[in-house]
Amino acid sequence: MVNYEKATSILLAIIMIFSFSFTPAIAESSKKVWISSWGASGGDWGFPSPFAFYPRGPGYTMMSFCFDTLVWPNQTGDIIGLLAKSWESTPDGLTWTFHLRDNVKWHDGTPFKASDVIFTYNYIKDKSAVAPVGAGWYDTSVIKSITAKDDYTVTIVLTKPYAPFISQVAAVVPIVPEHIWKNVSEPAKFTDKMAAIGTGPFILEDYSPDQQSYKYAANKDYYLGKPAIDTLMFVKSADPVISLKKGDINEAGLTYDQVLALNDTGNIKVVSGDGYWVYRLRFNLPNNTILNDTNVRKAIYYALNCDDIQNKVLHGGGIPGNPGYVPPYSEWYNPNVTQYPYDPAKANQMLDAAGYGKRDADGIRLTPDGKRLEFQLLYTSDSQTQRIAELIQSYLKAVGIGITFKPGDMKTVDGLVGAGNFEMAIYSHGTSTDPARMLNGFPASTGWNDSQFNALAKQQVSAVDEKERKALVDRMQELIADNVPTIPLLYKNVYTAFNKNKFDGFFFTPGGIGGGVPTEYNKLVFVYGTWKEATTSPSTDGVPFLAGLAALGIAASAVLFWGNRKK
Amino acid sequence: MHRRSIAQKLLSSPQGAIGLAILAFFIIMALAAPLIAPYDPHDMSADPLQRPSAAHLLGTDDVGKDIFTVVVYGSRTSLIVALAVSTSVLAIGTAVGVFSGYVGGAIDRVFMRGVDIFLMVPDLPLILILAAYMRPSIWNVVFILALLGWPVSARLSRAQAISLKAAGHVDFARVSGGTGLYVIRKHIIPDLYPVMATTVVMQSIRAILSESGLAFLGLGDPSFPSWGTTIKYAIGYPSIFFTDAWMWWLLPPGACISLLVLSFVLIGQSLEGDE
Amino acid sequence: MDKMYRKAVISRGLEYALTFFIILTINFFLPRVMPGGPLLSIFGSQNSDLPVVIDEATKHRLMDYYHLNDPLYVQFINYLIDTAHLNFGYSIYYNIPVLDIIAGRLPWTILLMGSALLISTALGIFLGLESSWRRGKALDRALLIIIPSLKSIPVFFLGSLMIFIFGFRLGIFPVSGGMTPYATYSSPLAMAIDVASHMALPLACLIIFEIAGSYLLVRNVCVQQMEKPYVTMAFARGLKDRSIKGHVLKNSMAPVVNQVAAMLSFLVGGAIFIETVFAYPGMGLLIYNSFMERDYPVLQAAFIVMSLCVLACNYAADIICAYIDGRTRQW
Repeated sequence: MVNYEKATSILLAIIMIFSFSFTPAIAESSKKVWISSWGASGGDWGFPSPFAFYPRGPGYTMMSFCFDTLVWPNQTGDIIGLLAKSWESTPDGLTWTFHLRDNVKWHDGTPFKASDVIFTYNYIKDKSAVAPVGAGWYDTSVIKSITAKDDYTVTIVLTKPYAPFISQVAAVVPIVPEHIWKNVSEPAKFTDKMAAIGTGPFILEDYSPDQQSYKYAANKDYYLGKPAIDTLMFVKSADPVISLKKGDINEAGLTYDQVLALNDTGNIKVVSGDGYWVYRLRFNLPNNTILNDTNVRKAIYYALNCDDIQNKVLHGGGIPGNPGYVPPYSEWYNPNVTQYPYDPAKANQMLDAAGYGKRDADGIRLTPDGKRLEFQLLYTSDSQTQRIAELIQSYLKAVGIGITFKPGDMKTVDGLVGAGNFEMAIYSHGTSTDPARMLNGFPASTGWNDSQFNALAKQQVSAVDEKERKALVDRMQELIADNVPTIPLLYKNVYTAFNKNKFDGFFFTPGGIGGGVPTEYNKLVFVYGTWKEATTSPSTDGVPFLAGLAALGIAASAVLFWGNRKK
Repeated sequence: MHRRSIAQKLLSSPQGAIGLAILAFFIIMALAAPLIAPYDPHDMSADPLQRPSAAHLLGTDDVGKDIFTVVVYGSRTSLIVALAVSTSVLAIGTAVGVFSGYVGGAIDRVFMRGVDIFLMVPDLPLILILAAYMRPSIWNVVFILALLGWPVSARLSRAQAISLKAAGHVDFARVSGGTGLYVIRKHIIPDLYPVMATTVVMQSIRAILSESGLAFLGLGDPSFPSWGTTIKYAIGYPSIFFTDAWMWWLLPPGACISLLVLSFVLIGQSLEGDE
Repeated sequence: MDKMYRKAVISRGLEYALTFFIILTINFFLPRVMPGGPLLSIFGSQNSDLPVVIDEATKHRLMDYYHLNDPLYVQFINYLIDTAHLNFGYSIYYNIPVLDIIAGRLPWTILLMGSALLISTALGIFLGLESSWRRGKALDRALLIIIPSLKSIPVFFLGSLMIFIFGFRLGIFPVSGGMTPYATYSSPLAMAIDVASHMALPLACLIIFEIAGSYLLVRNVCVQQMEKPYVTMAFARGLKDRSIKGHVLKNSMAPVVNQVAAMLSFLVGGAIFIETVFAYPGMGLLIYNSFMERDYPVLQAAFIVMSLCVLACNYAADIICAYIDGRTRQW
């Protein structure tokens, strides 16, 4: 009976001895390693090939490290040449000529040529029915024809003058190698290592869907210059603030509250950027007859205190919304639009005038046929949106409009809105600086169909002259502010925190990358930035754990021997 | 054997008395909430993230609600959920389990396969689906939790019923001519008390925690202030452990949940006639 | 094993097969009942941060490519046929074969949940038995209060607390993940230690959370057993403590085995909260993400794996249970 206890003790002793004699796991100790993290909420954005990434901004970003476009925005938001060293267009804006660099190689050594560009654009058009990513991200519909004059000159003819061509097409479409993709019939399913071969500053070494991590190695022959780091890794972190403080990761995108939680850490630098991320109130137009009344929507706008909502929800990490929809930090912003400051008295007045003067016992207004003026508010169930919903409910209650909550996950909200099965909804999404992308989708994304607005939208897309375009976009904002098809509540800023003692150079690209993704991961950050640190030290996570294991072993043996003594 | 009544068992043991006292404290808190709490639970007019002060005993949370008010009103939610869920699970689960176990045969197998199917439907998707179609009210939360909880109780009581059926005194009662219902009522159910007590305790705990879990996922009832939602927002606040905020924001609702659960535990123990 | 036993095993097996089929059907319709579909990330209007607004024709062709336009019964039949051939298709989100994804996540979950179940049940049985042995004394009373109270701490709260204390303040354990990403290991044992150290905190959370279940049950049932005459007899005859405990335990196993079987159903489903808090790469998180994305192929396969696991465990539990306690054979 005592034997098995003895055996257990011996086994424990063996484990202890073994644990001391083996070294712990050493994290990658090559020269310049940079570890970024998408935090707990994201991290897995699909395989970084131009047709297989998860079709949101971060997915595109992960792919952009390996693949180059013809042109690309830099730290001031200006478009610089990437694969194209220069470009020009005819005065009517229909024909664009790109002069490509002649010293570019694909990651597998094959030289890059104009034929790759021709192939890419045609391939995208051809495969749009089987590549959801391609259909959603790469706008080839404005391209009439694309030809190569020689190995390093490409001519693109558009179907009509298209003002956002450079920023929304040429700066977005990644060029893929013809010799690899010409035999691929299902681009979405091609996730072989070869599918990540591009011309970009980084080469994909590993992508792990289980660990949701990416590992890139620097492309030493990159034509803009060798990247300042050797290895770039993206890992998942349950709590980026803690991981940053511990040094497990070197950089993460944070919310404003998280930035505040960091502020005593000496080696962390915080950079902020204009976030083109908007929270807005969407109405079921034109189906909902009550909400279709512009005066009702205006009254709702007067009833909401967007300043207070921003203060309570973002705690200073954003600004209240602008009735003209374009955020104040955009170069397209028109300050002269109708404003709707917080004025509950006015809201009450307007609602009375609209015929909802009677109220019931709870103070909620009644429609002419005696029903409560109550709406169901649909929204995605994350903390911030939940708080916004609660604030909206309390403000609208003060003017006699009742709100019931309907939270759901994102797909549910999208599905219900798509089916027209909602009344009011809180929408949150990124926008872009380009007016075409920001505003032209309005009829679809708000349900508001105004012939004047639609005409202006069509016009501004073709207005190649900047001044002319600005005047049109200004007018569009005025129309939006006068009609209130949607109420922009807040704009959220973006922040990144990183270890400045290792590397410095992060910036937020004004206008975003990929046509408007407000991310700090512009690949040029790693090309233009500087490495600060002298050496890298291996991670020492394993050692304290071993000490703990040994202590456990000692404690367990002690207990067993003690128990032995009694018998 | 002389069986003491429930009240006698509860009051005679120190555990039962303490458990009852704690439960009574929370019940009073729930009933008198409008009198105790200085603000309305939906009042968000204060500045967010304030430290405790005379105006706000426990400070304010991230959106400007008075934490003390929310904690006081939260007792209502937890109590309603705990009692409603545990009683319905107990009723349905014991009924199905005992009936199935006692009758045996094909009926038993059909019932148990039904239970299996219930157990195998993954609970999270089911909750999400129900939440997508139903309005998020506290009663729907209770419905969901009871729906997902009764199979476990059924299995447990069935196992005990089967064991007991073969036990001496039950066989004797049957052989002596007792009808099924009589045997169940007089001989099996009393011996099920340990399992039932475990069920009530575990289900109450599970209900309170599931409610906070649902709140964590954003599927709780947003118009009912609850401890679970408070904890969720507190943990979601990045500086919660880096400042002192955890003391007045995280600790009170956490302590309340623990104390309430503790009271159920103590009551459950004293009901078993343990001493 | 006698003939009747064998017949019963077979008929039980058939029942389970039928249950499995019903489960398959439910699992097919469950995600599709939710509003929204997998391609909403492309043309759902909330994600209007995409450059292109897709027109209806392209939308239709994309849905065709993923067979989302076929009438529901056609999709269902294809689903059944594919499942029979063990062809689980490609994930719409990841664009890689579903089996690869599940094969990558399943071991992590089984490792974590299996260890938690094993350790918490063993500890629960041990403590429950000791507690019932010393009923009413100091140890019993203390355990009776402490252990169920452990379960009262919300898991995500406990997890966050542990990350902060053990991961940050004391720095003993890593904060998240299953293993150090892209680490080079000097030996298999070093890798095992890395995995174990990443698993330590989630495992501790799970054990703390689950131990109360088996502890209370074992204790209550053992207490009942201890009142039985045979135990008094055994004491009177001077049998060693250990062998009496063994007998009591054997007679108490039926509800415990049933409960373990019930808990096994959560083995594969994974602890979604734990995996979220610790960013642990398991099935729970996969199922949750796939559900959010309406990634039907992954969900279908994951549910099948889960259901098979539950059925197999229940089946085994029934057989073992009946074998242990001959009196309670229901056939």
